[in-house]
Amino acid sequence: MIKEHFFRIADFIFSVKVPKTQDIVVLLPSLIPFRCEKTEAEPILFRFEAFSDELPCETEEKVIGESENDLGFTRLKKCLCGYKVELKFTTEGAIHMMIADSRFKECKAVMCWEDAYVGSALCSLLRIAFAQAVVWHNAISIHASVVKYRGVGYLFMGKSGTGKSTHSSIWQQNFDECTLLNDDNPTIRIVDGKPMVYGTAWSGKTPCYKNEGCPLGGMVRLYQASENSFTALSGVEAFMAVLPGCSVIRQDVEQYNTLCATLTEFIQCTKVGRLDCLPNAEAAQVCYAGLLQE
Amino acid sequence: MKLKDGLTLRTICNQHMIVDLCDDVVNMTNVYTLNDVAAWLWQEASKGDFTVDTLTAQLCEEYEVDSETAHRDVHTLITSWQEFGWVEDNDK
Repeated sequence: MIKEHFFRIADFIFSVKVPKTQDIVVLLPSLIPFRCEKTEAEPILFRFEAFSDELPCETEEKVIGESENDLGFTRLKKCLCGYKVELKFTTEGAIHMMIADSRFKECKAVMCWEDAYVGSALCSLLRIAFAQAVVWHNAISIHASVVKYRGVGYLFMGKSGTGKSTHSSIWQQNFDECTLLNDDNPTIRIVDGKPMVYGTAWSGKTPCYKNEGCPLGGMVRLYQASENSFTALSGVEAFMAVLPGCSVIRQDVEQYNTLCATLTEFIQCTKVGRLDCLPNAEAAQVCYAGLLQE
Repeated sequence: MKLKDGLTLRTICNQHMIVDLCDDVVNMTNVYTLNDVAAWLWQEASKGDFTVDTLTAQLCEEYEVDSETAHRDVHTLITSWQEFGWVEDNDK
């Protein structure tokens, strides 16, 4: 028996079908704040079916990407119908698989339900499907930490280890009622010509799964430095500061061009900057002042 | 010759750029900026087949420039586009 669950993230609705024997609250805890009712009126971003049956045999597979991060070990393959994702959560762990069409509208997964990390693996596959599917809808899943201050979201990007989360913490410590919206993987989206940022079910090591969104006040790329300084960026420089953090399949020319078009729109309606910074209170002051001044 | 498929000229805050996915294996992206004249030539070139001579003629019609200078500049520009792998020969 199969049960279908519905979720709404960044105002996109998607459905997940899992065997009825699986308790969704235990399986996907970070998605629970985003649960919603089944809706006929709104379009579905993607449908995800996690059955235990064998996937149809795929031929002409070509590995186009492999990575090891907090998602586990993932391998992305191009196949006849679209894409195949293989994921294992630990080195010796079971392999979970997902097959999706080229736009990630219909995703089918084979999960090893006996794997202790099956929930985390399923959550990661959903993150991949969501990140790829939103690209076709004027939205971007981005690697960043976001705080909300005075009703506006401020997004911090940077290479791993630069101090995105640290910088977010500094904002929270120094600005009254400043809160963390997401610490790893928010979604940005243009709604009615205005840039917005949303919390998601994926937040890296910080359990911060907030079902809320707010206007995007700025996007800042962080660099470690010996003193604090903010540089406003525009045009191509701003584009290049944001591009590396965006989720996209780089080998997919059509998807990549769609992402670039969306990002071009963002750059023209969002403040972008570069912050050379120390991990101290002044860094947050300099950053906020820089964004307000622009 | 013609421009390779999949490359799009984008204009962002009055700056023109080409985002090129240069490598199939490494996750690397090159972003190139073009000045106004190069961007105009790109748009002309993207309409179909072109040669250095046809673009030179178009450039001379649009801009106040002598044909010798125009030819030299177009040749230099197309050569750099060829080096980036942005141009395909018709017989391929």
